[in-house]
Amino acid sequence: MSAPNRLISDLQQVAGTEAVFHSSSDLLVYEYDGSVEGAVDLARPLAAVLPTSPEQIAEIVRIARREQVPIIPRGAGTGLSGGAVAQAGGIIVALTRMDQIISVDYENETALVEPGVINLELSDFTGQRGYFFAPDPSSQRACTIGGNVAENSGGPHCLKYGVTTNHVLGLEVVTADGEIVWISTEESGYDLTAAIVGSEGMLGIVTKALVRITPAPERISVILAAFPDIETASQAVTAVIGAGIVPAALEMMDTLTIQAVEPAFHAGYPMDAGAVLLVEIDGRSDDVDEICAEVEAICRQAQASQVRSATSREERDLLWKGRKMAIAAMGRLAPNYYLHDTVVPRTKLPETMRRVYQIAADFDLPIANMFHAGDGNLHPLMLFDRHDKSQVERVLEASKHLITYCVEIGGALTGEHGIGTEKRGYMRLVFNEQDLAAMAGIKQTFDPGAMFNPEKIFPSGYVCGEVRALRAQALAQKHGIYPM
Amino acid sequence: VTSPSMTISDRTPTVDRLSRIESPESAAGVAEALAQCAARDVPVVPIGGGGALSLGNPTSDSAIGLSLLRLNRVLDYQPTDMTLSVEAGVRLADIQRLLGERGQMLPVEAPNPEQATIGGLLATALAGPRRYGAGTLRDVIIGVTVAYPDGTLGKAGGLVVKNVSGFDLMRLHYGALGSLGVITSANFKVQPIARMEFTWQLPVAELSQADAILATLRPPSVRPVALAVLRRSGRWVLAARFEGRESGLRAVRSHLATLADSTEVAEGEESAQFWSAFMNARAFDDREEVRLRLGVKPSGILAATSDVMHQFGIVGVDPARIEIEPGIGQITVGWRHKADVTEAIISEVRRGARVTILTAPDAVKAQFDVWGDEPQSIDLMRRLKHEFDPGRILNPGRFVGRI
Repeated sequence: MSAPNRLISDLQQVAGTEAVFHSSSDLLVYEYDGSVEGAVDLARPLAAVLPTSPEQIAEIVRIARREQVPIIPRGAGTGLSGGAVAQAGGIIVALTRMDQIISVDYENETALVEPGVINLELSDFTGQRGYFFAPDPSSQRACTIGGNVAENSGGPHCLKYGVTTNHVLGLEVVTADGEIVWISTEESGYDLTAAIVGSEGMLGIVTKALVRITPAPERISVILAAFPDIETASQAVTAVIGAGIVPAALEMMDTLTIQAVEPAFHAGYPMDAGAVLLVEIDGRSDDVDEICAEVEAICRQAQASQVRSATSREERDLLWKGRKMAIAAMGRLAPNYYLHDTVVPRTKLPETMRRVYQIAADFDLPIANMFHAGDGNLHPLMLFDRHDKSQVERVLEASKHLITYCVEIGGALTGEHGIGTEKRGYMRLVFNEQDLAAMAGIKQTFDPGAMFNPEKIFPSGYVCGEVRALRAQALAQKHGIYPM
Repeated sequence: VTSPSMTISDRTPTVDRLSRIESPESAAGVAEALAQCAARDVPVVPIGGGGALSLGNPTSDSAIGLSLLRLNRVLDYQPTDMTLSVEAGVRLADIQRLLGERGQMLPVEAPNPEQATIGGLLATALAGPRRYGAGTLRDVIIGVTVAYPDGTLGKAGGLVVKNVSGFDLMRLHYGALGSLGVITSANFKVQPIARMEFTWQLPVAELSQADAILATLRPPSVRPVALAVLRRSGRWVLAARFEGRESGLRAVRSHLATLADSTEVAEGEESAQFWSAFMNARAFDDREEVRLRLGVKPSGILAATSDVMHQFGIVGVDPARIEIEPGIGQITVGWRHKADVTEAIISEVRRGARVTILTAPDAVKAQFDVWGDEPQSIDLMRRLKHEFDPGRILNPGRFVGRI
């Protein structure tokens, strides 16, 4: 039997024939994730396997180790940085069949879930008892908690409630040795949980997660404020934060977004506004009323042309609908889009937005903006048609300008989408060789054979083990120290 | 995994036991000092304020101290961005004063904040009861720079409040007791100070009575930011710290009024002082105290406390310290060391809870690993240690599994 055939038959032995895909037509869907072709190369894996237990995954890891092929863990494939694509070939381990909420401990406010549980399902399930799972990425109707753990996902409400790493208490992980280990923030020792969260599937495969569930606040209000332009809306953001108010969410949308969203979803955004802010305030009922009044006053003072608030579930959902469906509405404007994810210091929002529009003009590309203004987390969305080569080239070039600018003014490469393959080429903009060497130390610890999700995070050509050794040697020599 | 060439003593580090103390002036200086120590196999004990030097298992007798106190600059503070970057040796009280001027704060409590440094607080992951509602430094750290024994300085994260660029080294070093590298600076997102606070104290005759009260304090509208059940002069007292605005706290007060007739309420500064006194009493300044931290599920904490009290009853000792933090599932118990009592208590309580020995005389540490049973993932931890500190010069033996 040829090596690939033996691999397939071994995988079938472990997970069952129906759980292993290996024909080119079956694998077509696994060549992609949610990221943009061009920014991320597509690739076909050798096989995709859909296991149902940690034991099966441990077996799969041992097979991959023996055959020396990579393993790419995958959730719902909604990621936007190419993290679930098999750029170096190998086996995609899709965790979508491990989708059970194993147990919920309301008294201690935790839930034990399998990685394939859909984010929103956990909130819906625990919502019956007045709880929710706080990380709420826009893809929450589709994305999995395992994927959230891999990417350290955020969402609008992480402004107040924190990102995924703030809500993970423990993980069951299949390691590169094919062992199943439990790691926990509650045990003594190093915080391996935090190392795994956000590691983009490069350190192991998460097979269970113990997560925190959060009690729903007594009252929630949403304020919609329309502004003449981004500048004035940004001033309102700064003023709200400056008043010591931490909203549950603080979102901004610009003209282009409003004009795409409003005709489609009728959320009540004024079509002539230059920017719309959505401010969600939650907490004790009396506090919420008082804070809302303050926020409304701040918005009016910052020249808001219209301020409305909603407290009932239906009204709030309508105001949010436009924001949550914004990306879906972009199909009305262009066949394709490239959704960016960068972060700048909040006070740098006005100048950053000016630069974004300058880039749009320079490259003759429409750019729509809907973003987490409270976090300074931008999501410029470049609209294009992928069949037009020149547009694709302009999008990629404009992206470089955008990312570089955000880093130059003190920002970050990514706030919640991850580095993946999309931004690995930019890592050296932010991190020098010593920084990368420290990160490589983590990779070496967990996965010295570089089996899990290769070609991610680290710049192309970077070899975790050797570079660290070389670096150490170079430094030692600089100090006149030689090995004894 | 290589074994160390140095010998591990059975003694807890103290300043006077360190052969000498180096005090570099810069992050680069720290990295250079580490590289030199690594080259000569000299073990290193990093020191911040020095208040938690006794934490952990005994380390090498030939260690030198590496003081971070000269790394005492505030590198950046942007109140409107709510971000802060400080060197490791900056004192907690100085940070809180600086932030306080702008109505902001870092969510961390420590004994002797005038002495405690931010680097030490990160390395030890020690936290106070306010952690229940406000979280810990782990929740707000957004960037870090660390000096490693190979002489490199590695940074991770950044100075923005949301960032998933690369691996999370911030939290890897949080609570690592300086055994993987030495934190030279750290970045945080800061929080606004609540407009108002008060502390409510309620005497409870029996622990079981506290259960019903605690249950009524669970809904988020009346949930305190800190919660403790303490023993004062042989009597149990439930103390709850509430923060917020006057309007919302008014509703909380009405709820509390329905729970008991006679309660004591400390407002504002007096409330804050209650908790800083509580924290100051947690300093590691009594070498004869044995103090344990027990981790249990919040739902079973009063039952677990009763079990602990029962064990003390058997040996006929009344523990001088017992602090229950029901919100976070933590019991802190302390008594004056007496060999047979200490051995009996530690052996027994380890059966029912995750137990850390926070402080104890050397004789106790010789008998028990202060970090308790090795976690299931100890092999990964040893590999991590080997990767970052192959010569085992950083706090050798002091951390989990005598790593």
